[in-house]
Amino acid sequence: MSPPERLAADVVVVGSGAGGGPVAAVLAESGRRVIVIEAGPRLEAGDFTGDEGEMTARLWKVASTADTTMNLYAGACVGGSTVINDALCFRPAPEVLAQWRDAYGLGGLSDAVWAPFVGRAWSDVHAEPTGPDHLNRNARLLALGAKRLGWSASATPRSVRDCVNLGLCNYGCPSNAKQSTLVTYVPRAERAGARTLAGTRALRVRIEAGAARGVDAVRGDGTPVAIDAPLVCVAAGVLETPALLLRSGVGGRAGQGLQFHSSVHVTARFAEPVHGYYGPTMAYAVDELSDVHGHRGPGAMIESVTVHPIVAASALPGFGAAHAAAMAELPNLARALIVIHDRTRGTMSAEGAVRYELAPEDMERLRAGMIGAASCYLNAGAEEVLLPINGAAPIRREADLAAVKTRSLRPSDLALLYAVHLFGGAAMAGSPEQGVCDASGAVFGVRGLYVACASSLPTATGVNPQITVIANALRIADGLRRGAA
Amino acid sequence: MSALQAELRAAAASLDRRTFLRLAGVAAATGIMPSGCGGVPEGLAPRPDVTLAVLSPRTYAVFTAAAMRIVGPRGAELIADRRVDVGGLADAWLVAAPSVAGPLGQALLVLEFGVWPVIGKVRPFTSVPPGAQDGVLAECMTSRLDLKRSLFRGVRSLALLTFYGSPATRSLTGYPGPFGTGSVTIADAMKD
Repeated sequence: MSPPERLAADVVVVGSGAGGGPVAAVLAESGRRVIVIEAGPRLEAGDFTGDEGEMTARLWKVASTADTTMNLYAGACVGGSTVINDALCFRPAPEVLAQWRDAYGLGGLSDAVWAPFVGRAWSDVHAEPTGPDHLNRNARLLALGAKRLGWSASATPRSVRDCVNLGLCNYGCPSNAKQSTLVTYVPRAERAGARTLAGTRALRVRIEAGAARGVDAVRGDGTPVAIDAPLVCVAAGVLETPALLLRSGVGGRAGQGLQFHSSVHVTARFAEPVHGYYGPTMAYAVDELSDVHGHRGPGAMIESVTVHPIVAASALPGFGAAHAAAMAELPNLARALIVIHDRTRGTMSAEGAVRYELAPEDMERLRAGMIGAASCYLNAGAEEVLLPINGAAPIRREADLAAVKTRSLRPSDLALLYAVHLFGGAAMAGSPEQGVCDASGAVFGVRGLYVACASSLPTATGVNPQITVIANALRIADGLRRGAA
Repeated sequence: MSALQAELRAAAASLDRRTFLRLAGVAAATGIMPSGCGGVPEGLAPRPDVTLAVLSPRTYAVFTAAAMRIVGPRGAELIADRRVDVGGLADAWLVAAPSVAGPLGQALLVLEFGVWPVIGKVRPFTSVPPGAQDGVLAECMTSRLDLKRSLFRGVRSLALLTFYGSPATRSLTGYPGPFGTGSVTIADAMKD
């Protein structure tokens, strides 16, 4: 085997998404020589064809839990999951930040400490209110149902500039309206001299005598690359970071404490066309059943979500002629995402195997969310609601929901159970007994090694996490910039 | 049928986790489950010019047969006419999802060689009539056993992903394609 290509930097950042992008930008702008390595390819706006199948294959990483009941998704490209997310922006929930302080020994992370970084994240990604020009019929129908129920709900801020409502947020934004790190932090870092190595997978962090020395990686063509650096910041996302740390010899609680926002979709058929494949993929949220930001519900958000063919087909129950008949009504379908605030905990191995068996109380959160979404749609005039439960009959009136409230419900009953909001596996905490890194992101026991993606968040956030992840990365980067390393 | 084959098929009938995993191992070790095209109905086999990276010709055929039942009769015509090559698309997908490829390959072999009460006799899934295939899939979908339901979900998910990802299926769904430049525009979706 030929000797590896050898590079040197002040900092290696592993990952280029909501965690790695901000860290790379802040450190490059402070004069550090930064190399960003990203396992996925680099695609730009002109490469985004809008083809659901093609772009999903090129941009998404697809995995599953060991018991195969839950699919796990993440972005696998320069920009990471910010390239495929729905651009929704929520500030971190005060209840969750308090939980991190009280239960994980992060007492120094007061709301006041978080505030400037949340504000900067909000500004950097151009989070702005979603006005009526960006609410498609899909969102308006959910809004109508919530209004008739008297439920708390609102349009959701999104990280966009001059959005033209293509409805392609999940497949790479062809107009560059979505402010993913591909168009924000990564170019900022590069303008300041950072180098991005796309298609380069980190094999391990080189740790010698208790200190990080760099990263051993491999390019897509199999060429090994060794990058020497005294500072390594791992921000490869929850499907990669815990396993990378374990492969690198980081022990303790690495790979422990995974927590997700488990998700399902509820579909409704209306008499009139909805055309839910156009317009922002997500733009409206019902938070009546949420358990954060002052709400006292069971812990389920209901959010309008796109109606492209693959995702619509996956969420509809059953198979065969009945399933095909529902798909033939695609233009008339509206859909909502049920995203719950899990309490389940899981693990990841060094090989990347994820064990995550959804707890009964989380199944009840999903049930509550599905029933809530069905009620919204029935109140909005849906002819029928199709729950993502294989074998379940369509819901045509409120009384039909009685059977849903009492039936047994297991993860493998669901047509599609998945998570794209993934947390933990290298959590911040006050001690190595509770987590992998301290409040500054520094890995316990390894000098010069930091974690700055959603892996470092101690728990699920209860809301879409983009802003929280970016704010946390900015906070960690600010500490590094000021010489904490 | 050899004693080993009988054991294999009996184990498949119960399909608990241990036997499921044992099945795959035994099958791989003994070659009981054919990996070549032998015995695969011609209409389900990959085209000669198709090179598979993950699926075997057998699992390609099982997946194609299952997908034809999952997507309904009009969709099945598109697959039968080779206008949508779900098996080839699935193979390409699984290359990029190695954690899914192993379990799915095992699931397809179990689907092919399991003993399913609704069929009533020992015949590969690919060789029984469509109605019987529907019966097998329905049994998996509603089974009391997690593993059978997981098998169904895995095969169904990949079938729907590969099928509805193909532009050829737009005639079945009414999806006008991205960008709203046809008869249905983005403005149509933004109306009150």
